[in-house]
Amino acid sequence: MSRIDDELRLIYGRKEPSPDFTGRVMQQIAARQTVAPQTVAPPVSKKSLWQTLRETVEMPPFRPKLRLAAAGLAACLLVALFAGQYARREAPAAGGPEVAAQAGSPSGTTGKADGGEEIIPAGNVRPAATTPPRATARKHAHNIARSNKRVREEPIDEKALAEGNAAKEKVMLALQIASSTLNEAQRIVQGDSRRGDR
Amino acid sequence: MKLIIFSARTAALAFVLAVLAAIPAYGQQGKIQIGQLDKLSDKSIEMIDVTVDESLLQLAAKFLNDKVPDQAKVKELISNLKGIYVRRFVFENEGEYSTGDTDYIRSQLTTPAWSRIVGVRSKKRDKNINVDVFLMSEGAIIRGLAVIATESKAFTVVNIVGPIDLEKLSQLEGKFGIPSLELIRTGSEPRPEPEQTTKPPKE
Repeated sequence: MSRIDDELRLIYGRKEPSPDFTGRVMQQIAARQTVAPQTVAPPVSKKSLWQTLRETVEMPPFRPKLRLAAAGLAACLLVALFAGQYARREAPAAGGPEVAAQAGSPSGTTGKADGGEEIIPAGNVRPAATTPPRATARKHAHNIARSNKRVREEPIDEKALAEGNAAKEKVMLALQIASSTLNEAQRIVQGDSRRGDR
Repeated sequence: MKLIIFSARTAALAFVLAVLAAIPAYGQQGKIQIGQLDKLSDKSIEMIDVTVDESLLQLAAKFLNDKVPDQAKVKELISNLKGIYVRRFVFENEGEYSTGDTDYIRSQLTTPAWSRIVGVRSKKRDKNINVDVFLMSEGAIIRGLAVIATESKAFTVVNIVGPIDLEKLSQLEGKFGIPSLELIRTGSEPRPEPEQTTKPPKE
């Protein structure tokens, strides 16, 4: 019994720590604190714009709306592109004969003209913003009239003249045939209706 | 997710291709193909072939005199046209051209875009004359006119592409020194026809 008592006293007896015990513990704590921040904190990486956009698109509230918006934008771009192409194609065709008619016609500015050239009024007057000042208006009209006279005096190329006249004849023949065909149909219809009235 | 993206891309690509394919077709609205009829020139004793495209129309317009009333009317008439195409064949005997030749033309005019506005059938002096007038219009704008006139010994096709004023067109007959064509005679003697690519009569 005494032996057991003695052994128990030995085991549970208070023992004083060694003098350097505290220092050693503090050193271990400090060492852990210097190592731990490097391994625990993850590196901060910069997100690229594409990743940000992708995450935004994949977010549930925005997904269907953004897709619709993208599709609508693409459709609008296509329509605008083809509208521009259409306008570009139609503009020269519409302006062809009118351009030819206005070729050589002077603008509606005031002032004398050389050689009795008639200044075309009203229809061809330039907008107010582009009208030259009064001091240069006469000079401008004079120059235009002189260039018109020069154009008229230049001999027209014979080949171009022949081509133009041939084109004119072709057009008139074609229209003549079309007109005759339509009128004959009209005569038949009118003839039948007269017979019906009788 | 991948399936949705794939189907969206496919739909977009199909849309773009469809629009690109439609662009060249747009410019040909109102025009019918009549080149197939050129094979009849071998059988015909007289053939009139007039092909005037947009550039030629603009060239002709420049040479038309505004001060002459008739030419001014023509200039106004053709100002917005894209083309005028005419084929006329005159044969020596009846039955030298078949309905198959005309059916090819008519098949192009059965599309919803074309509507027949006049259909005339007449049997005068034993001549079976059929005239059909077709119009392609988008609302109030006329895009094209097609006229097919068939007789027992002649066959005429006229195609005008672009906005045409039919009333002004009908007023041009007998003008410019070109005699009107012999299509139907209601009693008067036939007048001479213009000499265009006239072939010598077959022996």
